[in-house]
Amino acid sequence: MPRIRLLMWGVAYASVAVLARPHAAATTANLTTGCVRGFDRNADYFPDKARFEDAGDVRVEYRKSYKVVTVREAYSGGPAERYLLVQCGTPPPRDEAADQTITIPISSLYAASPTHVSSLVDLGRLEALTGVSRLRDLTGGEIARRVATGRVREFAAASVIDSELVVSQRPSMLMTGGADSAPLSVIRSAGIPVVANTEWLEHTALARAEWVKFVALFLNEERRAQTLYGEMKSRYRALSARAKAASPQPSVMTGRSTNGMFVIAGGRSYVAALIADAGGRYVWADNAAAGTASVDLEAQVRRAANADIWINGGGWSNRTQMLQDEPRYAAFKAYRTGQVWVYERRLQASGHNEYWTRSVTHPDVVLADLVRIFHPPLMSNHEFMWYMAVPK
Amino acid sequence: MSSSREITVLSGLVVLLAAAFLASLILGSTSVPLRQVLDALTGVSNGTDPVAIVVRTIRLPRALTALFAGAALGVAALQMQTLFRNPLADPFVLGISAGASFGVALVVLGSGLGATAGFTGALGLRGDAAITAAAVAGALAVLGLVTLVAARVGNPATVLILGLMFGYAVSALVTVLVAFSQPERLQQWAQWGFGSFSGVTWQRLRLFAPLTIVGLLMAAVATKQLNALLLGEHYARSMGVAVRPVRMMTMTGASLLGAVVTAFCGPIAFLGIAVPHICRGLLGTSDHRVLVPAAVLIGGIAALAAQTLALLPGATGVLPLNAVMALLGAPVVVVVLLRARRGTAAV
Repeated sequence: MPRIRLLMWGVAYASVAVLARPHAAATTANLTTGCVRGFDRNADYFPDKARFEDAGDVRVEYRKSYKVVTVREAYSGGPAERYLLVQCGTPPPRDEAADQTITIPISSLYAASPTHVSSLVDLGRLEALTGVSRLRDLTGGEIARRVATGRVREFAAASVIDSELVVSQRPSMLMTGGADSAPLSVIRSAGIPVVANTEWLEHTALARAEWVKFVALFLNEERRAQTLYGEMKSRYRALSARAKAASPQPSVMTGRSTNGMFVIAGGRSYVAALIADAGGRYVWADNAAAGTASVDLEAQVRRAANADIWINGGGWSNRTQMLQDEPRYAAFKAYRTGQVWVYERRLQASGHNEYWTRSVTHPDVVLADLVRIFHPPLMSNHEFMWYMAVPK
Repeated sequence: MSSSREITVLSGLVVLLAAAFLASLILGSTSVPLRQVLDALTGVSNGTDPVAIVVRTIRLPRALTALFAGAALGVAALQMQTLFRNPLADPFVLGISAGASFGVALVVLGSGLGATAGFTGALGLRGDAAITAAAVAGALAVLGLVTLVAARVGNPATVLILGLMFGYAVSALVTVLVAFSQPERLQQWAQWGFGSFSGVTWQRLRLFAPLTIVGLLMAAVATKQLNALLLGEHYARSMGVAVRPVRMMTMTGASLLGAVVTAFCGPIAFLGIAVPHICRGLLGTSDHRVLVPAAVLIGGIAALAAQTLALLPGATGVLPLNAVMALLGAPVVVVVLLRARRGTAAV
C-alpha cells in the first residue's frame, strides 16, 4: 500500500506545517506588537533589519532574538551607551554587557522631545505614545487627536522631570533628547529603561532624519522606517543634484541679532549642509561650529553685507519692525532687497512652531522650500511648507 | 583743595580714558586699517561701504555706551557705598537688577503669557526695545516698593536687608519663568545675562545718554552732603545737612543709574562694586569732590577696556562682557586694595 503510506505522510507533513505556522509567521516579518510564543533558538526574529547609512552616532547589530544598539554620545560630550533590545518572549542573553536592557516591541513610550513624537507619527505608531515632557510643545493635527484621548501624560511640565510620575506610570521606556539628570537615574534604578536619542548631534539634515530608524528599532518597525527613509532620501538627493547644478548659486546668510550679537548657524551645522545641498553658498562655510555660533554684528556686516539671501532669522512681523528691533539690519543687502526668509509660515499665535516638531524627519520638504528660495525657476510649482518672506 | 597727587592721578586718568576710547574704535572683531577708521569718522568714506557702517553704526555707539555705562555704574556704586557705609554695596543692592531681570524674563521667556504681550504690544515695542522697556518697568517697580518702605524705616541697614529680600523674591519668580520656558528662548535670556554694550544703537543712545547724564549730575551736586554723611548721620545733621532727603535722593539717583544701565546693557555686575575701591586706592582720599570725577573716569576706562578685550580683536568669537570684567577686574581690585591698606584704610 505505498499510496496510503504516501497519503499518511502527506497528512502528517501538512499538520506539522500547520502547527509550526505561528513560529513560521514570526520569522517572515518583525513582530510589531506582543510577544513570541515557543522560543526557538535558531529562529531569526528580526527578518526586517535597519541599516544606518547617514547617521554617524548610532549603530545596530542584529542577533537572532535581540539587537545591540550603540549610541556614540549619550549626551553632548558624554560617553557611549549600549542598549540590548530583547524580543519579548525570548530569554535575555546572559553574556552581553549593556547599559540598558529593553524588552521589545515596546507598548508605551515616554518621549522627551517633540521630534521623537514626529517619528511616531511617520511610523504610524502614535498609539504607543503615553508621555511627553510638555504637552504645549506639541503641535499638529494627529498629535492633537492623540493628546485628546487623555492617554498622554506630561512628565516634565516645569523642565524638571517628575520621576515619581514616570515610575508610577511604568512606561515601557523613556526616550531622552540626550541629556543627563538626577531624576533619570532615579527612573533607571526603578527599572524603567532610559535611552538617549541624540539625533540633534548629527551634522546633516539627512543624518538627523535617519534617527526615525532608531525609534523604529524599539517598535520592531524597521521595514516601514527603511522604506520611509529610503524614499525620502532619494527625493532629497534628486532635488539637491538639480539645485547644485543650477546657476548662479546665491550667497546666503543666517541668524538674527540680539544686543549686537548675531547668532548664526555654524559652518559645520546641518543648516550649513542644507544651504549647500539647496545650491547656495553659505557666507560662514568656513566656520568650525557644528551647532550655532555667536558672532559680533561687526563680523556679520563685514562677511554678509552683500549676501543675496537671508534665512532662519525670525520673530519679526514685518521689515519695518525689523529695523525697530535692530536699525543696523539695513546694512544687509538681503534686507534691502526683501530677501529675508523665516520658517514661520505655520507659527501659531501661542508662539509654537510646528517646524520644530515636524521638519527634522522631513528634510526633503525643508530642502524643497530652500531650493524654491534660492532657485525659483526650478521649483515654481512647489508650495512653501515652512518658509515665508518677511513682509514689507 | 586738591593735592598735587590728586591732580596728577586725575589727569593721568583722562589720558587713559582717551586712549581706551580710541582703542575701542580702532580694534574690533574684524580688522579695519586706521586710515579707514578715520575716513569713516570724518565722513570721507561712502555711507554704504561696510567698513564705514561698522565704524559709524557699530563701534562708535558701542564705545559711547561703554563710556556712559561705566561712568554711571562707578558713580552709583560710590554713592551706595557711602550711603550705606558698606564697602560691599553696589547700585543693585536694593533689588534693582532683579527687578529689571524680571521685566526682561517676562518679555523673553513668557511670550505665551497674555499679560506680557499686552504690555509690550500696547507700547508698540518688539525685540530689544521691548526688552529695554520691560527692564525699566521692572527696575522702577522694585525701586518704588523699596523707597516706599525706606521712607518709613530710619535704619540704613534695615533698608539694605529689605532691598536684598525684594531681590531674592523677584529672582525666585525669574527662576520659575525659566523653568517653564521654551529652550529656544533660554538662549536669548542667557545672552541678556552676559551683559553687552553692543545693542545700544544711536537711536537708543539718544535716550540712554541723557538719562545717565542726569543721574551723574545728581551725584555731582551732592558731593558735599555725601562727604558729611561719611562721617555719620549725627555729624551730618550738626553740619546742617537734611539727612533724610539727601539719603532718599542719593538712593533714588544711584538706583536710577543702575536701572538705566541694566535696561540698556543687561546686568553688568562687577563694575558697580569695583570702581569705588580702585578710586579710593589710587587717590588715597575719601573726598567725594575728587572721588566722583575719578569714578566717572575709572568706570569709563574699565568699561571700554573690558569691551575691547571681550571682542577678542582679530577673532570672530566674543566673550561675555561680565566674565571679562570680573576676570580682569578682580585682580586689579585686589592689588589696589592691598597697596592702599598699607597706607591708609580704605572706605
